[in-house]
Amino acid sequence: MSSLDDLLQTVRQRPEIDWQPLPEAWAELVAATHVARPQSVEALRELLRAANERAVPVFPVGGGTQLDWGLPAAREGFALCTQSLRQVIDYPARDMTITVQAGLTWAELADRLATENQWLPVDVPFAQQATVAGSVAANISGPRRFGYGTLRDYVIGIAVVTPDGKLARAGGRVVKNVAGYDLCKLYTGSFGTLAVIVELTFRVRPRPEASRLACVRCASLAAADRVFERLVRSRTRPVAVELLNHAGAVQLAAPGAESMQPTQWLVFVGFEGFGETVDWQLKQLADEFGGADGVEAVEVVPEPETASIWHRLTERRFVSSPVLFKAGCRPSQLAEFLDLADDAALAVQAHGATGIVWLWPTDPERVPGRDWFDQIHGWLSNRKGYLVVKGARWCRKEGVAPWGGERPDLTLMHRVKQTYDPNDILNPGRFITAEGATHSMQQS
Amino acid sequence: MATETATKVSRLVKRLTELVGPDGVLSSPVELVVYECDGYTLEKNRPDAVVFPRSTEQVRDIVRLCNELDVPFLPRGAGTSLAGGTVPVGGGVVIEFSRLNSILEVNLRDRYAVVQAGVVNLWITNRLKEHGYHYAPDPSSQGACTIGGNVATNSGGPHTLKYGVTVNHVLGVRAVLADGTVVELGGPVEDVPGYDLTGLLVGSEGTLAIVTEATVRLTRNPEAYRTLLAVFDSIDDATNTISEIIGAGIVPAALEMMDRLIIRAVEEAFGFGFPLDAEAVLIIEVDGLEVGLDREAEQVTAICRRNNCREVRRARDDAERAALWKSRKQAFGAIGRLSPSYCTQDGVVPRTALPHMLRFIRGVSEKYGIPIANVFHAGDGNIHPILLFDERDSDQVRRVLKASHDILEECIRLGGSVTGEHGIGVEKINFMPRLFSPDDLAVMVALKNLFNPTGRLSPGKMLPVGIRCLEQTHPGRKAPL
Repeated sequence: MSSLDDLLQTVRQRPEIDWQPLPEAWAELVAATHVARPQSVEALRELLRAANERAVPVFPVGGGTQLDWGLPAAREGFALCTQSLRQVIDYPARDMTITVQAGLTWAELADRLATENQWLPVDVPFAQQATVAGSVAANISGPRRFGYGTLRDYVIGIAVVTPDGKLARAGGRVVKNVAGYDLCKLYTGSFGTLAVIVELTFRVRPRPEASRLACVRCASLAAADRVFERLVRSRTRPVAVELLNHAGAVQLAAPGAESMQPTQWLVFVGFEGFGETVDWQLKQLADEFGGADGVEAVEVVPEPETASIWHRLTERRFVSSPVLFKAGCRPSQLAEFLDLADDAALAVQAHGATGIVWLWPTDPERVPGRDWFDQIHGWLSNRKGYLVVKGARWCRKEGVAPWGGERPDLTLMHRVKQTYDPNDILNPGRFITAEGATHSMQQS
Repeated sequence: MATETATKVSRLVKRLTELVGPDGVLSSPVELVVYECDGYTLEKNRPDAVVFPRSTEQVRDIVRLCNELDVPFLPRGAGTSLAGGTVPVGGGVVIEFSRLNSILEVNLRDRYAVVQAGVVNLWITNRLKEHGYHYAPDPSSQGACTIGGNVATNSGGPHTLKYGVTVNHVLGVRAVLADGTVVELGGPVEDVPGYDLTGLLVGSEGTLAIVTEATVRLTRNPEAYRTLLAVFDSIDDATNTISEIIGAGIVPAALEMMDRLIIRAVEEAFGFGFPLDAEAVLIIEVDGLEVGLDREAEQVTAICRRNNCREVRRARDDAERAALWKSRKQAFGAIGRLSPSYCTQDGVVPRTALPHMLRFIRGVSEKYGIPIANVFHAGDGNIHPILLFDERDSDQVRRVLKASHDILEECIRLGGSVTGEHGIGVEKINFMPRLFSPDDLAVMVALKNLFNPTGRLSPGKMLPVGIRCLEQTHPGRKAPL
């Protein structure tokens, strides 16, 4: 009997663990036939401990919206879904913190915070499915990261279950706390390879009174770059600066995208805060940039369309493309990078002020291959940037390592993985792997 | 035995001198006294030598030497820390960073600077003055404390309420690991794939690695400020105001409280014009674009008035604002006017619990007959009660320790923490098992064992594993951030 069968026989009859066949959409991404949904943290601990004892791989899953990162696992195991753990444990709204279980969806979190006119200003796509823990594990962010930071700035407390079934906490429930190692940072963005997150405490913020977007139409990439450079010194203080090429604008159904020239670029600039502060900034932006060299127009997005544009800027890049590339460079390198990477068949959306660029093919017949990847990846690596891939099937077909090439700091990361998951059961092979093992970060 | 030790030390000093030159090593007992402790003076221990490297490579070589000779070692910035993080427990080598003090790169377009660990916090902001940027974390000791020390303790400061603490502003580090390996983690490019080891090293109190350089985020200066001084006749009214401001969804840039005892000391020292008969004052700063700022200031003022505030003053100009902040940031220097000795704590409570916590502190003060002054980061719920006593009176000393303990226990009971920004160090190591379960601590210890397997780097700090329990018999005299 295989270890997996043995495990299944041992724990499958437990009523507090719901076993279901793996949803078809998840197949090929996690090497499993079943998904377990523990109904309690205790049941989850027991399950993890049993898997660890038998060295059976476990694929932690939230809403399953970001499973396409990393390579599919080589060893078969089961998916462990936290969706049944969805309580709001504590919401002292006047302290501006909230403690929730892992499987609460991002939308449920947002709705709950909205009752107190608060929010967590991180843009999470597919909020109806995405869970809070999945978002933290995948370190999801979007346009507002320029103005508000990323999840690492909001997670102040965490509880995880380690592979051997320990329930371990770090941080706390107060906004300022330096007791012990800040393991919240380590788990954020660890893609479920170190432990399974079961509970999170976030600091939250008051919702801004107003939220508006303006669109700066640029004649060329060079003109858009000049806009970026001047925005850094502008009297306005944007919370988001998003850059779209022609294909990206069409993908997002941005206003006027269809009539754009292929050489034109759009810069969406977001402002949030008091109504009068936002209005002043919209006007100021027009004053500073209207008529600037290469700027064709500065248009305010009509208020009724604003929420929809924010939504598309958050989500559209993740919709129905076989592969999505994420590049990182310094903002000042952006124009040069895009000059190199731009291709009429690729949609580009950049969180311009932070140097993060998303690229995805718009035509299934014209998907870039390994040559393109290697060229771009090489250019970025030489400048301490990176290129990573969301698209497990594409990576396998092209023989590309989804997390980029070898880097000196990986040695230490392998050792962290080895320390916390010595049997290599948590998402084996999909992100950072144990020391010595073949790992997906390495260029294959 | 003594001769054997002396031989070992002289060999260590000789080898260190070979690495950094004769002007880079201190070893005479008189010179070493300075390095026995930091702002926390309860526990002291003399190092065998203090070494002043000029480069990361020299730090690496020193670490390798210490490993070769089996000598403990630890980094030290300016020694302004308040929990004993720089006490050389077990002796050995103190690696002092004052000569690694260059700002290596400033990049305004990409909003970062690369600085060596010995750079003083305020130097970065001073360097940026002409350009409209600053480095946001502003501990009260920022004129002296170093970035390396800030990274080690994840320092806060008054303006971290809105802008975040050190970890929110550190993008990457260059560090020497306990075995002498040099690593570069993170950097100016955001979201570098892999684990956030930079975030992990921040606040690790020098127990995981020695940071020699940091890449820090630069923040644009706000266009305008409104700095308010709200005067209250009762502490309850002041603390209720704090809760109500936060609860109303206002995020001031800073929200600080000072009580009557501190007001008196500060007024004697700086003559700012604080009302000596007030029970408490709040310093409330809102900042941002000029447009809308008056409305925010008015919202704050209205909340103060609803809570029986006697008077709200507004700083008229930059000079008055600067004077007000000077009074606040140097408040601890003024304590000497009140009492021969004092000891401060660094607890955190949920912000809604502040009214209760301040009443509790008053009760503790009465119960033990120990005057307690309060000056703290109210907006974060980060209290700094200062217990005033005379260290020559052993009965007072005993009561101060009990009072401190009661206050921190109450912070834990309320769901808070025993340290908001000063760190665990050696001072609060015995509280770790009160905050964390054995399993929580086991996960932290595993990390420490990975990074620091021999325990030669910063022994006896933060984690109470294999560490003797420190029985406190004497409170430290120290100034908080």
